[in-house]
Amino acid sequence: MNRLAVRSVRSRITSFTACGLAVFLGATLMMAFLAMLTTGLAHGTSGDDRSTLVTMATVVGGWAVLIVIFAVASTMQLTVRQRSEEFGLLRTIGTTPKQIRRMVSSESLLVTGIAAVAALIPGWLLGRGVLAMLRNGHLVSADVHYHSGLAPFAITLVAMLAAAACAARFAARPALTGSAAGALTASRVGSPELSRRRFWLGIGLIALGANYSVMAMTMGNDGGDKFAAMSLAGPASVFWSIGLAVFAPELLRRAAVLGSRFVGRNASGQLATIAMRQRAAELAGALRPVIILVGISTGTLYMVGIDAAAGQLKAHDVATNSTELLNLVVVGMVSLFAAIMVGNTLVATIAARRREFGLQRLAGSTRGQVTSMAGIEAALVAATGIVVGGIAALGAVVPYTIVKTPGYLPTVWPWLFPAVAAVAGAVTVGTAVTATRRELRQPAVEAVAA
Amino acid sequence: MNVLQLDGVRKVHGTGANAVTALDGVSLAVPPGTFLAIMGPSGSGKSTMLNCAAGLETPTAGTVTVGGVDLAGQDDEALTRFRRQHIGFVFQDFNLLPYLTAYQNVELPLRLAGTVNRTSRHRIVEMLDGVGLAHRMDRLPAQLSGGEQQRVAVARALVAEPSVIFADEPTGALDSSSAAQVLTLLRRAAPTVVMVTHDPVAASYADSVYFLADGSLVSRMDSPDAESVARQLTHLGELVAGRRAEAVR
Repeated sequence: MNRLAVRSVRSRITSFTACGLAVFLGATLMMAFLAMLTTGLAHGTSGDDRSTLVTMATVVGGWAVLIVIFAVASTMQLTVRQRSEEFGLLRTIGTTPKQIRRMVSSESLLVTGIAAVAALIPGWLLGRGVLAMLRNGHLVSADVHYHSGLAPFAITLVAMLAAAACAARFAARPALTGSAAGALTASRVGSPELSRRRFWLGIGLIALGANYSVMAMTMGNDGGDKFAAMSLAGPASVFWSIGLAVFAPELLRRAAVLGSRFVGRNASGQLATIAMRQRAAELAGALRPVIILVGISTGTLYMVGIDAAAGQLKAHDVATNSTELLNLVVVGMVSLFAAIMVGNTLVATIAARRREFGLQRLAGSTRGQVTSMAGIEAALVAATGIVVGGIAALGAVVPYTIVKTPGYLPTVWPWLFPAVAAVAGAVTVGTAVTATRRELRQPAVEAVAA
Repeated sequence: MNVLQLDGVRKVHGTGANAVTALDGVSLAVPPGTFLAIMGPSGSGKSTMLNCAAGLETPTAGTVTVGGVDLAGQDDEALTRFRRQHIGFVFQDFNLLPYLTAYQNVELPLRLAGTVNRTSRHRIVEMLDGVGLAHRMDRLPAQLSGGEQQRVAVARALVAEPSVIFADEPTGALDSSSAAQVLTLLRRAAPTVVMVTHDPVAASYADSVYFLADGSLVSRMDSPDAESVARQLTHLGELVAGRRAEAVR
């Protein structure tokens, strides 16, 4: 079975590269934050430095890890979903569901393992960089020594392997239940209904987000901890984003219905909105990172903005300034990760559509029409992600604004949300168009036969 | 005027030492209203010939004209527009868009050409009715049988009123009764048909059969019946051997 797994990975190199990249970048981030934890807990570190480092690793690192694991699971799920038909085929020739599960697990472990090991040195270096920044910003004393050890790597590796294997199994499930022949055709029809499990997962995450929002509002001004509001509002936008992202297929179907009113008589637009309703499950893989990107960047950056505005009124204190800088850097890293994930998943979804594009061209679509269809589709995905991510961001922004200012919505940085939206839109549509063009280079007949 | 005309069409795949001649100077004229079958063993160049004739592949040498228009020198964009208007396709594995219903699949060529209007719904339903599937028009391809999918594909090929239909093994994936339905449909409803097949029964629906071997047309049979077509196919090997011997001399 392992040999089959190796061959299977080789034959789907684009999808697995997407998975590998998600794991690699995710593991790098995760190891860097865990290294803050090990450095903080190391013997030579003093009490104040210890609490700063541990707080940072658990609060900021905690939600970064959550995003990373979600991204890895989401990409893995996408890769496996795309292969339902192949699993159906394997079953009709006598492969048992158990054997397929084992193959899927081996594959995901193989890819995840390689990518996580590759992230070992970058993760170590990034951790050292973050610590250097903390030292330069005088958030920790200059004599704190970087102490990474093997623990961050081991924890990251286990977390990544577990996330990938669980996601792969979960995604393979629909193709492995029911009859083999049914699995073969089911993969080609529509998208799965909202299962009870997924419904409650989403509702649970949103409830957690709401809980953090309320806590940020009520406890954000408590005591002397001036970072309480941020450490509560930060996770709020993360949980809101991930919770809403769970409903990505349903959101996309709605968006397609709405979008069909705007495309008018444009053939590519009509085709895009019709196809989106049927392919919502696959496109959901592309939507999720957009929601995360917009939700978390907007949410956290507005908090930084509000603090910056407040800081200008008060006397400058070094700690506040460096915290802002640190926040910006951390948000920057996580946003960059999310932006790469947006491009990454889009490339993976589009690479799997070569045959479909060929079919369209044989039915009379010009290359331009196929490209514009993919572009319109991506624009709809981006628009949905921007709206939903914006809503998720409110989960952090509103409580934080209430706590820190007299109003409900921030008055600082009015350009921020449009800027985040523009970046998300540009990355989504740009990647989709470029990736589609690449898939159209081959003659249509060959693309369909392959 | 001929609907389709091939003059000295050559197609070489690959270059240098790896070059394989798939078509070696094929000439063919198809007058309007004919149903033509092209037969030959695997690797004889049948599909390449069809792809060249339909503008899906560019010949290395020679000319292809469809409805009097030379396909050479047109870019992909122009060729696609031309195909959409003048050429219909039926493929072995149906090639329907999986996420479009039967109705939407038939409507697709009209949508792409931007010619959907008030009367098109009526026309699409009429087309689907013509292939006996009006009652299934809201189903997705995966919810239809192979024969039904191929009938939808025939309706899609006919909807834009093309001057010629190209069919590549249209019955290759069908049982004999579905195959008979599809062939009868093509014979009755299509204007001019060029069909590639290796099934003598399918070929017997045609007005005439051309036999292809090693990239060249070697013989022709009018008003074919399945038995003589089958016999001719078995002789093809000898014919090819004969031609090769001649070439050596």
